Amino acid sequence: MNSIASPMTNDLEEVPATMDAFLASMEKRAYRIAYIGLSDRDEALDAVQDTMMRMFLKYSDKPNTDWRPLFYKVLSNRITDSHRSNTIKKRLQTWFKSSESDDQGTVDAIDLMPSRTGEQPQNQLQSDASMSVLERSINSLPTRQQQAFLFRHWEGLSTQETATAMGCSTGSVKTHLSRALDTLKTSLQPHYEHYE
Amino acid sequence: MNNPNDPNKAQDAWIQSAVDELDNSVETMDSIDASRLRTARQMAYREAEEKRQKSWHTDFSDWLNWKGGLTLACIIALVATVTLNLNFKQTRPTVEIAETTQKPKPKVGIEVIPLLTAKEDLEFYESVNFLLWLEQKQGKT
Repeated sequence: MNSIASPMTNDLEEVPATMDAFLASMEKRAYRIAYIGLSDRDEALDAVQDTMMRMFLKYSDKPNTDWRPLFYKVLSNRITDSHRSNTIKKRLQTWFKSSESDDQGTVDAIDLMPSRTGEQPQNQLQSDASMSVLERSINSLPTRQQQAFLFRHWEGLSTQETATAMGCSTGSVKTHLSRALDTLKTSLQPHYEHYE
Repeated sequence: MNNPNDPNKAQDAWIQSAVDELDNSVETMDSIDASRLRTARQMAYREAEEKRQKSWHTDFSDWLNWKGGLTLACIIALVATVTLNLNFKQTRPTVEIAETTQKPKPKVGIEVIPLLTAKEDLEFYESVNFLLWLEQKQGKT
């Protein structure tokens, strides 16, 4: 079992006084986390927007020192919700496709429609494929392990804050983090050694 | 102390590289994504404000719908009770004075009511009563 390296901490960083300034300081990192978790730019943007809306609506009156763990908690729940709805959508699609087997060979017009950003589906796929080795490695982890790694090591949250953000015990955080590090080490260590 | 073959040290190195790469990806985020995020934040703020106002209005109108009605009914009932009570208390002392200073009025039977309301003179009824009494007396004898 790997010993868990202590991540850098951002405890000394000042939290902005207004919610708007706080969210402005968080939005890019939140988007990155959501994108790694959901592998889709639009979904990631929606998740970040929903998270920000919830923060404005529910937590503006909370002390600003609580905002960071709360923000990650809302984001983490939102990502989990997206995963759930995607799973249901996929199941429904599979069910409908199996019942419409005579449609094979024809091109679905919806597949050819550009996305909300105007990107063609093929281009969207390519941009998703252009994720870095690091992003793909993290993306291949289960959601909880992704969050444990990103919150602890990248965001520098303490174990307690990570547990609050993930809605679980500190023991679970340690377990998820240990497993994440085990998996990432095998894929990332050779990668970084290669570039050194 | 600084063993270069220390596995924890090696782990730190690859984690630090990963963290640096993530930081770098945020710093070099393209302007389109950054602009979309800014717009998303502004939209989130606007939507939150709308929801907050909407919820306030909805709460108030809901309150007005049934709780307000109930409260209004209670207030009317309370005001009516208080007003009636006050009126009752104001009239009561006069009644007491009347009871203490005036002699109690003799009780009258229900048969007297036609006499009081009749247009004829009271002497007429007295004479009728006398004749009836006389007839009864003669009948007995």
